[in-house]
Amino acid sequence: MSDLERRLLDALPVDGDAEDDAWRLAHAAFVRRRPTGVRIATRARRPLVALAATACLVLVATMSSAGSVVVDLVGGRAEPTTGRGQHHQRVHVAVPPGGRLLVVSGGWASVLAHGSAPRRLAPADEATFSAFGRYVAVARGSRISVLALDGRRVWALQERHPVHTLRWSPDGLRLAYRTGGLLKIVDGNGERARTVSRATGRAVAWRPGPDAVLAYQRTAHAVALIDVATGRDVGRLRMAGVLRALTWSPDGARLVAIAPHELRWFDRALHVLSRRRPHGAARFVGAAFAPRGHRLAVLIARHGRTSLTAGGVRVAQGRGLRAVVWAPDGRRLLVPAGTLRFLPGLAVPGPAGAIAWRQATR
Amino acid sequence: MTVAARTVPDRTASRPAVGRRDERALVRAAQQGDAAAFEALFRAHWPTAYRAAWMIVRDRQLAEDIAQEAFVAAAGALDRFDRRRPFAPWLRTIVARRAIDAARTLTVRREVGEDALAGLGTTDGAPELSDPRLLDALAALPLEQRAVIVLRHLLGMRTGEIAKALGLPRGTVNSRLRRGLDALRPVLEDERR
Repeated sequence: MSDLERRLLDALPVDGDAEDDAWRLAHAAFVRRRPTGVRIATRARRPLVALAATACLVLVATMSSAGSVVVDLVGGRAEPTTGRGQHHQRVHVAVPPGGRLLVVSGGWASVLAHGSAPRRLAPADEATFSAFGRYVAVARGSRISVLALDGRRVWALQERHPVHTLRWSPDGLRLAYRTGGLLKIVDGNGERARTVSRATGRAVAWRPGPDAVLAYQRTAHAVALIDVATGRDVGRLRMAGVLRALTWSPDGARLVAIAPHELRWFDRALHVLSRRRPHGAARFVGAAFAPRGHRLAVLIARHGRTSLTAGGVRVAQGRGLRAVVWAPDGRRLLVPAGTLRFLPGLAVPGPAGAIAWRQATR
Repeated sequence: MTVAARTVPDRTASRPAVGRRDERALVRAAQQGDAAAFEALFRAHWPTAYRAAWMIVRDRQLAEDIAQEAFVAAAGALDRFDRRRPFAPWLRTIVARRAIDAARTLTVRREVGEDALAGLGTTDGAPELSDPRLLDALAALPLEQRAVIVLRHLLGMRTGEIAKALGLPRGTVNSRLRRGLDALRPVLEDERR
């Protein structure tokens, strides 16, 4: 062994706790592995797909922007569960290295990384990634905690009222949240929690870009834009009804406000570019811009079923769909859902392939 | 970001070495479903996998993730592994490729909010280094040189194996090795004096 080899081997201690954590996941992967031939044979026959047991009740899913994360259920392994007469399959979520998926499920925030089981972080009602996915902020009751990805708490903040709508700013320097009818901001290091404005509803969205501009629903009839660095109002628009969501295009040039009966596009100066109303009894549920901003995915509910459209074309439908998230490469869509029948041949128009994140249909 | 070092329990000293023939037997047993055999492989290779990933990405948590993902991938692909071939180079190639990919991603996108979290008096769990000069010198190398040095001198991969794993000509691997070692020479020679 050369001097360099010996010194490299001795230079860095190995954390036994991390090793044990890794072993648990490696062991889980070892236990669930199966010969390739069986997998291929069953894959073609089974029409229903379900998530692994670890992702049972997916309520919220957000993608970290760290690296080119792709959640690939199509490329994932479809496996039958054991036992006769069971007609569902498990799918392993395959997230390539460099990015992670944050899930709030069953009262816990968990992070999924490539090829591994979810890593449970902390009890949570809501959670949000930091700008590049290295930290997670979770809200549980009236408490906000910021955690490293291995679950270590970086800081915590106790509010008097329950905390909702946690949003980490695109530059990672601030967290916005709602509590007790107020919109508040706290610095990324947990200091200087301060009230920005009163607010209602759950629509809060940071404008992408270097300036710290936040769009939020101030009253039942008004949406406001505020520069939180200066405290200055930079825009206001009237829109009746409680908004389901506000979402900015990735370049910050357009804002979409989604109310149950109306979807409106605005430019940066809050001039209306277009309006859409749903047909008949349909209601808008949510929307999300593709990462390049060239396509909008919209969820529309009608008679208990929810349709997912992307680029104006329906790509999926199911029950209980409440949110939609694009993978950062813009090739796939995640739909955290109660149940959704697997629809073979889903396709987003153009070069992208659509995929929904779904739960077991038993 | 200034971070406090932390001491971690290291089991390296108590870890039994696994010979080539033992390793082949362990792989065979693991393929037949013996979890203890797979654990023996895991325990034997975890330290090197983790160290290699850390030295390439220089981030404890990311290195743990990379090593962990490599073992999860290895577990999933174990049934397809040809047990006539040695296990270690196969696993090391998985680790190396993942670590290099992650390092490239890190280079392109650094966490922007990191400064805002500095000065909190908290630790990100950076390990206590027993040879910080060498590791700092290694970290200062360009990724291409750092990676081949880690692959050659920590993972013990041959030049041909590195070339195959990274999809590079042998000559390129050799020149990167030579340049990297030249840059490390002052640190290595200081130690000998």
